[in-house]
Amino acid sequence: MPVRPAMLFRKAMPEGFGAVLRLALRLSATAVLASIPLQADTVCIIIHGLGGLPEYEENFVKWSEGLEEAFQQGPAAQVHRLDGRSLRRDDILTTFQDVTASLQPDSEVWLFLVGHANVNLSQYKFNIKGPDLTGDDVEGFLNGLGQRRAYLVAATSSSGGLAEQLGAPQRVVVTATRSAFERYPPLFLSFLLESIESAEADTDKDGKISLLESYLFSRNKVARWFADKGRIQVEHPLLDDQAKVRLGEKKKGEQAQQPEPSVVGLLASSAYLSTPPEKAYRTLQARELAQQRIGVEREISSLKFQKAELPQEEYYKKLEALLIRLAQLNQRISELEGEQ
Amino acid sequence: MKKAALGRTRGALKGSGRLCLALLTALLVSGASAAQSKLDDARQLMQKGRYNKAEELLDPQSADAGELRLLLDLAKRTGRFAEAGRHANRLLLLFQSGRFSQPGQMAQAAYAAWYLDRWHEADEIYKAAAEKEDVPASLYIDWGNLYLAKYSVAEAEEIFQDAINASPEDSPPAAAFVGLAQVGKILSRPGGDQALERALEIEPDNLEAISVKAEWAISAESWQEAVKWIGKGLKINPNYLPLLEQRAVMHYFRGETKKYDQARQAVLKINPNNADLFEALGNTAVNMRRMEEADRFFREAVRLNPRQWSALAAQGINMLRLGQDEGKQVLEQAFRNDPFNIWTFNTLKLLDSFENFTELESEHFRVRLHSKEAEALWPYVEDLLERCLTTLEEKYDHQISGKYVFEMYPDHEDFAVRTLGMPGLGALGAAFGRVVAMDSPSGRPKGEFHWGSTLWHEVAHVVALSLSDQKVPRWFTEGLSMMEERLAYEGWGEYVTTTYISAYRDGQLLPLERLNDGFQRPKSALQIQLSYLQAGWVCEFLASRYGFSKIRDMLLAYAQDKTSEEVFQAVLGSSMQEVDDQFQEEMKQTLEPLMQRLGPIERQAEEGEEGAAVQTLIPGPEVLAGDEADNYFANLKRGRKLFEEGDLEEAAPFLEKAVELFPTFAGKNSPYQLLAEIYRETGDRQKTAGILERWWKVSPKNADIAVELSGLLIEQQEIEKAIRYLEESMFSDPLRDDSHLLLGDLYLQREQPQEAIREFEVLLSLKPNDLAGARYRLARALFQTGDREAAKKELLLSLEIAPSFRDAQQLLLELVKP
Repeated sequence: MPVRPAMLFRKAMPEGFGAVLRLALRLSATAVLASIPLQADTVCIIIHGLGGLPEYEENFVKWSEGLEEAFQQGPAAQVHRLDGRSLRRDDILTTFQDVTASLQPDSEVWLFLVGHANVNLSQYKFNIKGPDLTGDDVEGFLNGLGQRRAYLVAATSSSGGLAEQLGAPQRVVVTATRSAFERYPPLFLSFLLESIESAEADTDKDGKISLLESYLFSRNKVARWFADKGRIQVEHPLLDDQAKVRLGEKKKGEQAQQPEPSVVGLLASSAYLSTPPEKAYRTLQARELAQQRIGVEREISSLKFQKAELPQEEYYKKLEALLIRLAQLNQRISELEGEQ
Repeated sequence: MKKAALGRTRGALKGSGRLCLALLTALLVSGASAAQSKLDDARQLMQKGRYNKAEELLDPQSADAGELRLLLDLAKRTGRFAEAGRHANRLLLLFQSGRFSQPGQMAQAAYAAWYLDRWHEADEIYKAAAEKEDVPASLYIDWGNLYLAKYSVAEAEEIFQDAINASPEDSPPAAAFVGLAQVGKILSRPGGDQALERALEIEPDNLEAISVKAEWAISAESWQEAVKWIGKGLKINPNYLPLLEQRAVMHYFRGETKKYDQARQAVLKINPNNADLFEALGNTAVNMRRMEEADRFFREAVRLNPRQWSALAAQGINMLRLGQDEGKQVLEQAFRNDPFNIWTFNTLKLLDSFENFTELESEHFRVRLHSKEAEALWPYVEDLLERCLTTLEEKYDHQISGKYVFEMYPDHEDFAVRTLGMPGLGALGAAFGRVVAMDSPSGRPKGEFHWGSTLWHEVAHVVALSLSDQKVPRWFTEGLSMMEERLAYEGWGEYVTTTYISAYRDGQLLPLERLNDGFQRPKSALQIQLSYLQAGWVCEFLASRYGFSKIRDMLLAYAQDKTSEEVFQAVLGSSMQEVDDQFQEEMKQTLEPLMQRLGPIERQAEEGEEGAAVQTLIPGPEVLAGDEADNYFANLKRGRKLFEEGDLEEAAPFLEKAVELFPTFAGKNSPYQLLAEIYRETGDRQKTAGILERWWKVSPKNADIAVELSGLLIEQQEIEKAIRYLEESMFSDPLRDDSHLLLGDLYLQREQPQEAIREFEVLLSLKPNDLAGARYRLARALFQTGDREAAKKELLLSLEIAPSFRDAQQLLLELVKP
């Protein structure tokens, strides 16, 4: 039973642990299966805002260019980099309209906000020339995308509230901070950029970096950066997946050992910031085996979604069989291709 | 007297109105002054310790607030608690019936409420009284003492200040300064001594001030001073209980059994239920790390006065120090009855947090580690604890009885609460009772903490305390621990610094006879730091000059209740002064040549070199070399300047020379750091490895050095060395995943699967980003042991995360091969 000291003159100490843990909901197997990536048309919008100080401005520009390059080389068919130092809110809203009008039904949209932001009267404000771009503006744009998948990365200060405001089905919202009160310019995006080319970030060893992998990598790097410097961590990134699962939220009492919500089957795990170059097989047989391999990989994914429903022994028996099959296919493909 | 005066008043009322009024006024004044005079007389008698005489002057049926207060105080002092309660209740009832409206009277009612444990009510009455006109300073003093007793120190300080403000400028109340002195002491703030001096300047016979003086002298084990103050106070009032209690405490801890018995009897004669004596004995025993004796005293205090909640709380906290978990129930009982006690609160809060800790057991220790890091720390903690205890038991030829509790706190303030009951402790570790508590590596800034060395230091205390029956003085046990950590492994422990040399040169080091003051009542944080280094060096000196066996003999002599002087005479055959003279000569021989070589230290120290260190007796990892004419700081400064100007090749020889001259300076901005940067920059991997290796050997605190060095050594095929440095790095930072990954891989490569398994299991507990990779490695290590089933299980877990992981797939095929 927790105790508290009595104090003369003073009221009892307030409850220290304000944050309420949001219960993470496990996605259903069907919802997850539906999220297996298709070859969709991908559009990426990167907006960098006012720097205030030269060193911030330099970073914001550098990071935006890094994102632009990564998306041009990787998943995006179109990349729009907008400079909020010269473009005004109306210009950006016009771009939003134009992009929306140009989308295919199966298009996917990525939106990056890079810069300073603040929250005023509960309204998120991304600092650009003239009137700020607001959380409501971004919400209007994302809602206008209908059922299309959208990925927002708000790499700004005070961005935490966007996860709550903008979380929705078919949408992933990543914020560099977990609340409006984390007001320092975040480092998060620098690590996210690092993740795109990092083997360490590729935790499922499939040769490409998903938004989930990138988020987890960057989150760890942020924490370590502050720990190594011996500083109090002033930014805690969040990831909201379809308003059902939220990663990185403050735990009750901070030190409590509570598991993160399951990351199996999140939409963020099938949205890629980098993709490996298309593999050209030299033999027909290898090509056929590669097709079979895709099938086995799908079966493994499907099985993993059923993990909670299956008895453990049965699950691992089936998994083992599939993994052996996959390993054999890979071995055979390598042999055919003359690889080591 | 009052009755008579009233009667005369009635008679006078028959005369003319004007005369009547004049007479009435005169009689009232004379009656009041007579009553006042009686109370003054009683107070004077109390001040002289003539309690019975004082009580004879007072009327138990009185309705006078001041008189009832004196009666209450007298009953309390003489241990008649029921009677004291009756006076308090009567005082309070009279107040509630509206009899008392003057602030002075209300203050007595508040005091009565306080005595009855109705603290809030007391506070409310004081508050109401303070809002009236002509508030006496004594009200503020009582009120301040209430806050002091209820641990609201900041408020107490303000109220004592109000007492001073409410008094004429030329006669401030001494008691207010006594209160301020206690506040200063509790807050470890400078100025406490001055406040006490001021109190004695105002009122040289103030018994409270004298008593505080004696109490502080006892806590610093300054016995002569304690004797002086106790003697002075008892001349004024031979029955003043706080001083009689302190006299008993002093005799007890000086091992003067007969005198203690007499002093105790003197206290109990006045108050047969005096719990304060035993609480004071308990607190002093705690201060001297004699927890088992403290336990007995606290229990006796509570037996004599079951309402002595402070003693009950102290008993509970002390039981926990002795590893007795039932202390929690005792603390809860104390907290229910005195919810103001911040020590109780903090400790109970800490105990609540124990649900986040994992309990483990080694051969000699019950270990409590925070669950978030228990798996990572345990292999190293268990190994080092047992290794350390075994080494020291053998060296001191002394077996420790029973199990000790060992705890590591990732939150430094939790460690502080465990040790002191309050946050704000500067130490890294502490050994008390049957508990060793210390910061966990995650509780300190990276690169600045060597937990292995701290653990060794604390376990050395366990041995020294046990061998001396807990009676070793603080300076000696700290000195031994400093010595033992330096002897444990290369580079462990602390070296004498330039700050120390500077203090030596300026005559700021304490003489051996007063070295204990540097720990028990240090004048500054720096004095504590210097005293640790000095005590360590003294012990090295004793072991070197007289032989280690004498150290053991000294500890055994302390166990026989001998004073330090007696111990020195008996074991070393020399007085403390003689040994100190020898030690001074030793310091002179070592430090004076260095002073030449270092130049003006203060000026340099401002530039960040205060951490520079020198060799004492235990050979360090490097031998001092170089021309005596060479100057360390000049080389460092020149090298740094060239480095900053980008002239790296020119800078290197100066920095190398600085390292050669003063190899133990390895802190921030050390020449090692600059040289490492230069060699990295110039791409000289051999030299980078060389300087990192030398740096690590003198300062194995920053695991970054070991990890980088190991990487370079692996390139040079120096696998054994790489393994060694990585293993050593675990005693500074075992919570980084890269070192476990690297070390585990090296063990795999050398087919040492058990060690590899340990490393990969730790790695997994740290939740690395590449979980699939870590599980795969563990599977490989298990496979090396021949445990194919366990290997396959780990492999499936790896491939579940990363089905396309080629290396894991190949091992899976290998494993399922018929």
